[in-house]
Amino acid sequence: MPQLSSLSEDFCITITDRFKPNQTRSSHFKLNVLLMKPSSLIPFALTAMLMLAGCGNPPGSSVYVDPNGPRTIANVGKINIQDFNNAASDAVQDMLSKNPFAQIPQQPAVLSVSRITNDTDQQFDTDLLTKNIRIALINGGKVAVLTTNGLNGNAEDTMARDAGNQQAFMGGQPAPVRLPDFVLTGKILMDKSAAGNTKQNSYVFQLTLTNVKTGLSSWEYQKTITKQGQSSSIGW
Amino acid sequence: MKITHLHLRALLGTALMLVAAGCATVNSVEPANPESKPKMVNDKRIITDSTLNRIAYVEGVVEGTSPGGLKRVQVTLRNMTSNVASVSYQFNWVDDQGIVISSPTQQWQAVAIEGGQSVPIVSVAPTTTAKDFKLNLLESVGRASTVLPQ
Repeated sequence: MPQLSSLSEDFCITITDRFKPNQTRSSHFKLNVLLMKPSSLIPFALTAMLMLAGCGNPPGSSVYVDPNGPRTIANVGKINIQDFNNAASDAVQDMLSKNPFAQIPQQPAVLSVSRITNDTDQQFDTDLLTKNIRIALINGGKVAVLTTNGLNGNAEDTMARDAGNQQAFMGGQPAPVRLPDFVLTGKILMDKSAAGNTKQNSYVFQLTLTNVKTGLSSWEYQKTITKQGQSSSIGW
Repeated sequence: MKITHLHLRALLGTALMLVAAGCATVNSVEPANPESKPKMVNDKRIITDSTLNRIAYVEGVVEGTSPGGLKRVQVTLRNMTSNVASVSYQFNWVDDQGIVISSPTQQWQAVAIEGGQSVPIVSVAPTTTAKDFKLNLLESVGRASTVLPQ
């Protein structure tokens, strides 16, 4: 048997596995490939390398993918990370475009994030949605997010609240607190349907921004992400 | 099983229906003399995928300012084929030094375009420091094409 490089061996296995072993054609093909001189296998090896490079990664291997890119896994029956990112990105675009925060004279406006109700059959942390919104709004200079105040009186960052109180105590002055100008709340809903083997799931992201002073809604947003298919896929 | 003339006609009919369903294209109506005065942007295109350029042909780029004072652009894509196509796109905004501004809005988004349909995609600059944009287009999980402002 000729000496083959490990890459060539892999290539032989890949090629011959595609034919049934009992077929005369496959036997001849395998024999021909194995009897070739190693130097004449170089074009095959190069072709195999190019095929592997172009067709993705070998099965079973792990790779890093861009979480914001289109090569992430898409499940029909699940809200994937890209769905949260898409909804957040769209919400921010809409909010930046309409700029409801301009109603407040003292800029940047102070925002507090309230409850985002998960009305789906899945379990996830709603911070997957709200964190991206907060980052984009703070980076855009439109809002400051209050972390020493929270839902039911529970501070998001208790240490920051305690440190503020301690500073105020030591300084003998009450802690300077700026109350939120706006409160963001929302809901995530789902709708399921099927036709034959094809499933369709719609996920509805609803957000409401309320002006605390007036108690009126300053901005409303809804985005529906509909996924249809029979099985999960890599890429979308 | 004996294939009769009726069977053949039924098969042919089904095949025609399937072909017709896959090739449905969009008809549209708009004012002949529109009141809007879009500010068109001269764009520079880097086409690496001619197939993608047919299913998501960039008809035009319009620039404007949002009510919040941020720059915004609208790119109109047209599917020049008669089949529905899925395209992913991503807007990147850059500051006056040409550096990309990192933002959660850099997310790739998917858009399905019916045959012959024209679809506007809009992006608002994440900050007031954003000066220019760059749009990346990708067919499904295929190859990339880019549109840049000139």
